[in-house]
Amino acid sequence: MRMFFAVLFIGFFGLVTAENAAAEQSQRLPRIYPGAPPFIPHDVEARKGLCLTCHETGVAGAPIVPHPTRDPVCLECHVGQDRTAKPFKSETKPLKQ
Amino acid sequence: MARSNLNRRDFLRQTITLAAVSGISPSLFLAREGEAEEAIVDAWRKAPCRFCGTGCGVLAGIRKGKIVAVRGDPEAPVNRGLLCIKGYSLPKILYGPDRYTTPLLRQGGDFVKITWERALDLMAAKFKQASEKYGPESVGAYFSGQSTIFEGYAINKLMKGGIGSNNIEANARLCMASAVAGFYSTFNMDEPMGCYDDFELTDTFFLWGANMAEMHPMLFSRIVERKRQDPNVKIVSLQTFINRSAESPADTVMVFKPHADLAIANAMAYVVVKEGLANETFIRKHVNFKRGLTEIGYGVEDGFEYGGAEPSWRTYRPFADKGEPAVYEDYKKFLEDYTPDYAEKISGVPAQTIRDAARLFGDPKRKVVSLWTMGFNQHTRGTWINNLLYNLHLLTGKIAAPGNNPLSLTGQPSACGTTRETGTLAHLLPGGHLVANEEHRKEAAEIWGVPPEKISAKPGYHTMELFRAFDRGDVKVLWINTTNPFQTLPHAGRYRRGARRGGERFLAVSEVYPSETSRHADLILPSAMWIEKEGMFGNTERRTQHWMKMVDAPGQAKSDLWQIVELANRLGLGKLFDYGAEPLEKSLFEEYRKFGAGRGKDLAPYEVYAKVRGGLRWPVVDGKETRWRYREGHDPYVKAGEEVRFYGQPDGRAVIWLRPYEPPAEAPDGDYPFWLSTGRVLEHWHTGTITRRVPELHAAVPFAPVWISPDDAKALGVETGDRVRVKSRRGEIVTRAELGGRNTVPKGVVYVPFFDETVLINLVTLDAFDPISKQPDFKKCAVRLEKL
Repeated sequence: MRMFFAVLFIGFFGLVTAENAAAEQSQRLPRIYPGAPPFIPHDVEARKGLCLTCHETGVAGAPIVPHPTRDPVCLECHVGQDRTAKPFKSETKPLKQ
Repeated sequence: MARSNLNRRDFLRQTITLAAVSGISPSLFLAREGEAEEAIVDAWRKAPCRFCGTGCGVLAGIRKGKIVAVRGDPEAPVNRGLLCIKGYSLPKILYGPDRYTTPLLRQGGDFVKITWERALDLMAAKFKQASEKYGPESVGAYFSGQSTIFEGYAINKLMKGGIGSNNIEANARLCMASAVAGFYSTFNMDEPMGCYDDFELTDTFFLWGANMAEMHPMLFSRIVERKRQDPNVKIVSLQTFINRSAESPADTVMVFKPHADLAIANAMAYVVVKEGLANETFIRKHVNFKRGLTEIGYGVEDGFEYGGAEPSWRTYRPFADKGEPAVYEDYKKFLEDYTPDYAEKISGVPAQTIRDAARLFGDPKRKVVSLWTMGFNQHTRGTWINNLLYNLHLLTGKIAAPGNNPLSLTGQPSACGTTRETGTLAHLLPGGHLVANEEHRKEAAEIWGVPPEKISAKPGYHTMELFRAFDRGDVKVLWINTTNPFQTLPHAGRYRRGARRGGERFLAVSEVYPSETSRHADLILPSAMWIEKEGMFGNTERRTQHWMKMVDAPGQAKSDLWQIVELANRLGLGKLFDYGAEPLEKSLFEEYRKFGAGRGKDLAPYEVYAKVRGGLRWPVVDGKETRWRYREGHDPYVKAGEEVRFYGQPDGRAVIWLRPYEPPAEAPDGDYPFWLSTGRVLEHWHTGTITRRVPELHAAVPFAPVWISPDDAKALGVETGDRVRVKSRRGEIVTRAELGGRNTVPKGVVYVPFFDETVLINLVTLDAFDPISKQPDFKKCAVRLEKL
């Protein structure tokens, strides 16, 4: 069943997935510190609920998840990264109103 | 000094042993399985997480005086070795480049560095001047559910026992006041009877508006794991839009119109009673019925007093409704109006779905755990909806028993431990004592060593009225600590302007990073945070946890407790905190413990908490924690043969309240046709003051969008990423539209998170509140959208 979805998934996203997977492979993101959960280097929401499709068996070089039973809650620990986001910088001057 | 130093091998061994001993599925422990990499640290030391009210245990990895890594503590019963991404990011929250490291004074258009000496002298002078000229009611302190127990207890003692002002409030008023009012009116005693152990013992979960998948992730993990192990487990998720808690693995999803929960809960009670699912024996033995006031208003006017001239906030005991006695027959008659068909009309949820949910709830073969947070509490009828939920558990007798409980989830790490238990609210004294009660004042004065007349019998200003008083000029001097009200107060524009009206107003703010509130200040005090100081927190399930100071605060940043004591010294009140050679934190805790001892709020000695990993749940009697209150065999306060006793009430009976549906304070109309709901996202904590300093959390959710339904977006010609103005009668913001992603809102509803200081959605929200709890409603007001 899983395999069926994997095939369907690859079929669906076709080139996008194959190309991105390869590109993203080289962009594996640094962890906050050794032992911290890895970040997700691809869009998260478009593949909502499909994490195990690739990460259970390592489709297209995807990292294999060591704890597959936790699949409904992947996004509690593993989050995406918008690398186009400008670094956060707060205003510091007093507000007058 | 208790330390928790663990090496890698110990860590693994403990993990495996604990899994084997506890019989819990090992999968919860194996989040890090396969990890070869390991942070290099000098020591792993225990602390509770600094974020939400779940109260996860972490092990902080310290190396060369800095925290460099964390791990979920495998010995912590709450999270069993696992953390969410905010928890894993803890090491980075301390080291943002713009930490405050010296006191700063507003001078012209800038903040200039000053010494602690000058800062504290100035603050003390302002407190003194205002108190002498206008009386102690002209000064106030606004603290936090993120303050430690030591800090909460100390500021309460200083304000109420020293300065003589009951104007001490906490941001927890915005977060759980309705939960407290619900507990008081139904049980006459605060805080849950159940605990997280119920998750593994129940087979039916009701999520009442709580998006636990994002806001209480580790608890949601336990629910998901429970369902994985037993497919018979059912999850019913009631929400106002589809979020991560309304997807897999929820079995039933009920998306209702905002505010309609009042009708749904009554309709479920209707079905329970009509279909003979009520537990008549339990009702006969353990329940009273009461009818409360109706048409109680919405608190939008200054000086609003609940219930007209009679039972007002000032004179009547707050956090409880007066209530006229009623009988079961009255209640049955009252329920006649709440047919599932009527509830369908109000809520948009099919009557059959409501009926099925009620049958599931009432099924005598099932155990039920109910969970809720801000959806219920941030509600102009927040106390009522808490009562209505308790009604269902009392009707079915599914309460105060292993696996059968209503569990009010807390938002902040110590809203329970600090705000509710040490009493940093305008009407409270520590340990559930009340300022309006003469006996309680006497007892407090004796413990504090102050004359009883020092403690005022008049409750201070509740949060909304405190900030209205600051705007009006009735309060002159305000100290804000560990919270960011000028981003979080509803209708924030008024209170932001009020803070800078000048005159004799003086605003001191203790903060760690620049915030919307610190930027309004006259004086900024740089604070130490989390493991830069010693602390204790109390979580949702009555669990008290302790941690030691592990690293130094940067520059001249000082703990908030140090700041409280230094202010007291300068006000001539240093004796309140003079414990001779004894350590201050331990002395404060041992003194505080006296308030709850023998009253159902017994705490263990300080040393026990310093030592024990994962903390203990009160009442702790004879060294034993309590998992289920009010139940014989579990709660030492319930005598043999009593079975169940709600001993907060003099007759031991909890109250089923007749609470009607009443309309919300503001609803969409032709000019403002959309409902606005606000809230959080998983990756950010509250106003983002600390989480936005973690580059990875910032990159995960860099800004707050407005979620719009695809239908509404189409009508407006808006696509994801387009700029949209969100406007109400009070203010407006501009941000980008989001049609998909993690939330799917129904037509007519929009959702904006409040963490983003460039999208100040609380300029738009309405400052209506629940007249009983005084907690504002951040989930419902009317807005219009304009495409830019």
